[in-house]
Amino acid sequence: MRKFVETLVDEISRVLLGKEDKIKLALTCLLADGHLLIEDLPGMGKTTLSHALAKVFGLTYNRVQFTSDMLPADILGISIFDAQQQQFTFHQGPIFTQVLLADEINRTTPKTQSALLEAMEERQVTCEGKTYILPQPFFVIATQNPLSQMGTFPLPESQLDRFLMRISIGYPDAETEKILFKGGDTREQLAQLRVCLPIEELVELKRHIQQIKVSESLVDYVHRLVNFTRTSDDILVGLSPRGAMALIKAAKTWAFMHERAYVVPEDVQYLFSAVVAHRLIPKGSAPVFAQENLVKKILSSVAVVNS
Amino acid sequence: MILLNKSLKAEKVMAISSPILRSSLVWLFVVQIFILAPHFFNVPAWIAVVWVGVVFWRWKVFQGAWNYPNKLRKTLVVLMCSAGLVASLGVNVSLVNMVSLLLVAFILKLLEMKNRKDFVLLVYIAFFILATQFIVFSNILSAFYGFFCLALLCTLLMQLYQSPVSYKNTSSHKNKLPHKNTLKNLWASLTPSIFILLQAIPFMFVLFVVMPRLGSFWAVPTPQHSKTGMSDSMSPGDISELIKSDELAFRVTFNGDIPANEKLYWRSLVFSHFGGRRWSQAPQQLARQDFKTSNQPISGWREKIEYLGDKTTYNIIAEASGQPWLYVLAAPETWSNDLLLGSDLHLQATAPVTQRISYTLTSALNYRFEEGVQNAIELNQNLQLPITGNPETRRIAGEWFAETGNAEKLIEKLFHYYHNNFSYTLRPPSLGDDSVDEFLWQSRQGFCEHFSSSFVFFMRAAGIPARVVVGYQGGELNTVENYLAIRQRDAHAWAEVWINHRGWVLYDPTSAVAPERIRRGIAESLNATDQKLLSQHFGSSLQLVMLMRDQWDALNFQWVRWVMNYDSTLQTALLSKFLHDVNPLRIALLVLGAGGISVMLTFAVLFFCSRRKKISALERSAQSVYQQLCKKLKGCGVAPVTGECPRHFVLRAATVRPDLAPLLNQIIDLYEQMVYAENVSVLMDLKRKLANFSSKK
Repeated sequence: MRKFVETLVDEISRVLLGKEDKIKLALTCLLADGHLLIEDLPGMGKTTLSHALAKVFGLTYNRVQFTSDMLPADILGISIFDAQQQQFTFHQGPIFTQVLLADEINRTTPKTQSALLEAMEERQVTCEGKTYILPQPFFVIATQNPLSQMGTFPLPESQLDRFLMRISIGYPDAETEKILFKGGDTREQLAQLRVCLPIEELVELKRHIQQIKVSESLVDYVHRLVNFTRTSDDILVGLSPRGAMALIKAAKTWAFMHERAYVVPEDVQYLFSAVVAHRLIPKGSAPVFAQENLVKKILSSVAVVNS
Repeated sequence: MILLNKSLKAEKVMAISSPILRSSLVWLFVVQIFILAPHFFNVPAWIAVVWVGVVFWRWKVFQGAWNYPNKLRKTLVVLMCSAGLVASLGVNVSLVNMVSLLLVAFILKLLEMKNRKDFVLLVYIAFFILATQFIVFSNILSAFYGFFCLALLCTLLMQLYQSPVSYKNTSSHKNKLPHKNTLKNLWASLTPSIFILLQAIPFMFVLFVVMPRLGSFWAVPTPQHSKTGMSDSMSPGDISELIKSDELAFRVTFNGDIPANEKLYWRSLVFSHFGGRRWSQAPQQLARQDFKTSNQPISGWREKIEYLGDKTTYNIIAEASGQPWLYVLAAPETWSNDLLLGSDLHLQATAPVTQRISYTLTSALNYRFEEGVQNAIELNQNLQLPITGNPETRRIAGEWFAETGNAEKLIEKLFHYYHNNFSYTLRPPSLGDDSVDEFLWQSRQGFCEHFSSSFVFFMRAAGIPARVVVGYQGGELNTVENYLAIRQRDAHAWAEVWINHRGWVLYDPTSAVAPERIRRGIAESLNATDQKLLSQHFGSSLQLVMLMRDQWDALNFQWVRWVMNYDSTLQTALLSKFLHDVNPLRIALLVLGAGGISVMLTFAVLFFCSRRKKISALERSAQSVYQQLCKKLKGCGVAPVTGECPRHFVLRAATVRPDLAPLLNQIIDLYEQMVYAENVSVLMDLKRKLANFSSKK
């Protein structure tokens, strides 16, 4: 099993250099059936990562650039009157794909945002009374720019909660960046990526992930963590049960990717920031970093072993 | 016992002189309330006030506001309490006095309790005090209450040995109040202590069955005062006073059918002597040589009992009455060996009945008994009347006897007179000196003692030997267990008349006035206002209440029958049934066998229960392993940091001590296997590795 993870990471690393850990997180998110929110500055490889992910799994890929004048129909699709057949036919929007890159999701109006997020949760689109099932698997990678907040509509907490993980890719280290400079066109390289894991195997993998053991001790630990977020004086709103379940699901996937049949606290701790940070609301007008600090604080104040 | 051993062992480990925690103290006070409560039915009430005072004082000491009493104050308090005991109870050595003394000492000991050792001592005394509460109450409820108190005490002991840990924990979290947490601990430890006690029940049962039963010298006597029941004499008003009580006198189970109500005359005493107002036993009736035991060869007056018709066998469980006499139906043929039957056919124990006793009799309901008027002394006794008084009755008796000429006809006439002119009431007008005259010819209202007394007086005045019999009549059938419960309200007085060629014949003048009293019981025979005088739930028409009362009474009956009554005789019978030949070796084997089986059964149940809760057991062992690991790694100078994963912690230790790294790696692999993969099979391996692990170089 290890092999497939390594192959995937290696393959994606060909286009996104020196970011193996982020790639792994993104893979975990996809295997855990969750959606990914990437918060980073432009030009860090968000598009590359999402495109590469779609490629290596052999999935269909669409990209939508979100703007403030977008309407829900621009994503979901629209019914147009067909003069020949004398009836309305539904024209599927860009959401009908397996991997959707929703670029700069915070640029668009809440109405459009919520249309997308609803589709993410339900994995179906309802248009004019008709329900259309989205392709399987369905994986949304949304991005947002954390810095320039001018004219944006920040996602409300309830919507943020629907993303399994929030990661930032960050600058590559010096050596990698130099290699990057020397390297060729990313677009070309993307086109060369092989399909490493056909869709049937992906389904099989997910079944394996279901069987990963989550021990009583680990559940206790997660519960202590969750409880801490709810009782801590620094946190306004703690983790929801959905958040906690997401954490366990992600940890199971992570354990599977590391060839373990059971989850250890390290898995939870590693994923904690990515899965939990965006769901916490710190007290006071704290900046984004506050969430990261908060996560560190939580992890260092909750005992792993109950004694 | 196991508990005691455990605690003794723990005591060695614990710092014995460490101070008493607030929670332990509060808990002790609470437990004391529960343990002392039953005693206050029995001991002087001011002891409760002493308790409150002492608790207040001890609390002030705990708060640091007051000091422990110095020698002078201590002596003063002890003297005051002793004086109080002497003043309220006197100086005689009785059970109540001794228990009161014990209680006072137990309460005052609080003021001397300075450290944990004293605390433990006090708890052990409390166990003893708990046992003494069965002197006051011995029904099934009190057994449950005792069990509850036992659980409280065990909790107290457990809590005592747990508290330092929880104390440490709570003091490290400074934002939490320590006592709040420990009180929570208390409730948490009440459940395990009940569980521990429940585990002990099978073995307790074995011990109950085989432990030698100590004889009556060691038996717990019931305090003698405040007992109601037949007294050794009868004057007008005695029985009507007695029947206001709903207290149980005895219970009867019949082997076979229960005879009709009008046959159920439970004889307690026979009074042959009349003092003008009061009936009592004549000196001859008290003569010891006349009493016979069942297994004596039949001789003397016993030869003269002629048993007619069917015999009935019945078992009586009599409540403590403080008097020696018991209850018997008609003419007994056999009775329990340790009891004596008088020549007037009343049964009595060799000593006052101060605890419940059970005995079995066989009686013939129809009999002929010609005994007691053979010689002049006996005849005189049964014709005895005061020299003066009641002239009217004497005159009329003479006239009527002359008129009728024969005892049976005279009785018929008198009964007729009763029937037509008298009323049966609980509230008769008070009578003067010539009570029989006033009753018979003026007031004409009375209760059974009036009727029997006047009837016997009348017979004697007419020259016919007669005597008064007191006891109980009827009984209430408990439909649940099919036994009769006879209460004080069933108390009754009737008469026996000597009739030539028929011997002593039972006549009940009350039946002439109120026949329903005899046929259906006291409740049916009184009018509404009289019924109000009786105990309140008696005569209750609520079906459900009656049914519940029956059920409850039946339960208590079973309790008395099988638990309270389990004496050496029953034990021997039971043991010989199982062992055939009762000898010490067999008993020892039985104890070992049955005890072993009961202990093993308990363990089996626990084992299967714990299998169901395997995960939590696993968690427990995981915790203990982790604590052990922490302790061992402390030797390497590494302590776990909050939020640190076990593997990280162990590997950190491995970097400090590279020589131990391989073993540490194995240990942490096994630990994760056990805790996170929940693979129990590695536990032994892990424990072995941990045991081998040593941080010493």
